[in-house]
Amino acid sequence: MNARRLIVVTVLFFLIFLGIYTWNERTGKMDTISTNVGIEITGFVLRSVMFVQTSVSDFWDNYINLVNAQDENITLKKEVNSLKRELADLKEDLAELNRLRNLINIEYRPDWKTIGVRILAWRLGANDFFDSFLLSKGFFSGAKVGTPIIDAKGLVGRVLKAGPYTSVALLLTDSGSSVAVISEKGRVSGILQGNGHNKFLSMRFVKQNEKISVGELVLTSGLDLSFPKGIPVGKVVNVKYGKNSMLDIQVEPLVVFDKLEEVLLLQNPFEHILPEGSPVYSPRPYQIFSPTPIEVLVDETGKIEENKNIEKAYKDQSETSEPKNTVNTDSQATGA
Amino acid sequence: MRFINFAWWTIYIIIAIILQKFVHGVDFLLPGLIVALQERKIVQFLIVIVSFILIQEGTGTMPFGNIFLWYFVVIIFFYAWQWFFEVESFIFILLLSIALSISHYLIISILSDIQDIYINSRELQDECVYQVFITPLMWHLANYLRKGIRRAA
Repeated sequence: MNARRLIVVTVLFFLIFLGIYTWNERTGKMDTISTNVGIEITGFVLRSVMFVQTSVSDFWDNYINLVNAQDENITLKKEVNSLKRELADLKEDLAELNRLRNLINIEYRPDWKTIGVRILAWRLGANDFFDSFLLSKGFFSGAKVGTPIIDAKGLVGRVLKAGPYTSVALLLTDSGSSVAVISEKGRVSGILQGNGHNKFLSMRFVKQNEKISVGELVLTSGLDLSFPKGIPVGKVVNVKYGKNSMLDIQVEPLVVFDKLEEVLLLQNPFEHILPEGSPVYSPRPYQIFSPTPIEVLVDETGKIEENKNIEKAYKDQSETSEPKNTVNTDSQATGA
Repeated sequence: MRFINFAWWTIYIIIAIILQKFVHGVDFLLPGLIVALQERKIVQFLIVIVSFILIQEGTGTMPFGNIFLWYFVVIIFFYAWQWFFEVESFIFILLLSIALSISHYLIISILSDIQDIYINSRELQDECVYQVFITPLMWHLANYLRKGIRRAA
């Protein structure tokens, strides 16, 4: 290839690149194609490797390396007994909580389902600059864009992009991550932002006259409509006066990100009945769809009876701004 | 030969993806792209570059375009460099690798600025340095195996 030809090819390519880049900025088509193809190839390879790895290690642990099995069995039995006692206590507490909720007619948090998912890899390739990891489930198995991710200790992050069977998660610590939070004791609201891997999180927009102390737990407030309310996020480690009459608060995440192997995806129980762009967190269905009588939407146990009715109710509500029927929802709504 | 060629590239991609899992931020597919360029088979090269772009862009978290641009810089640099060096010499690959790492740093810095995405530039610098050393080694291994397979076939 001579010099003139090389220059022509370079200019031509640059024009093609600009065309594809701007077209993708408008439509997102290339992002979709590369996500659905590239992420799946990578996911398939890593899932296969993980399958071989776990099969070999399971074979070793279950059939060969049984030296400590007896001791471990005794320890686990003791732990099960202790957990059974703890569970009995908690059941009592839960029953009391439900009675109190009924007494004051408070809104309850719907039961979010959890789906276990494995972490396939951390920051993969030369085009991954976010604090992220690759998950072994995609949009066919519950990992949609925005799906909250937790582990036993607390909030981990949310799904950033999803292919059919593989997805990428954005961690809480990434500088592009923001979560609406509230402090456990003082009920101080703020926005928790990431500062990068292995760094403390910053809780912003908290006024200087608010009461928040070191060691206090920070929970999701649900106000960003992305996460359900009440998931533990971190502990306050430092509070000092910042700029613009705001406090400068540092929060240590509860989750130890480097040791994560499996996480849980939170599934919104009412997601299928909400319109596009709706909040991930939702109140009880009768409060959203006030025009339709309660008994059509929810049975005695709180279960949804007929989804079609709910969709119809939403349609009715969107067609007319005037409520057709207000069946006893006012008192419950004010109670909430 | 076609089957062997297909199998070779499939195995190369699998190994590169596994290695990428352990060394963050480094592109292990890049040496394969240089090998495909050296062989000068246009159909094979097009299939390889499209597959590599889809894999890297799909797995990455940045918007589409960074790897697309970088891989075309690889092509331009490869043809520009061959006027001065023998394409299969180690020094050619080493200098190409240095130039590509610098260009990677510049492309990511400029595009992340345009896309309004904060990236840790210190981390990016470190990864570019790793890339300088890993590319020639991986290329050497891939080239050696590829020649061996061609001879055997």
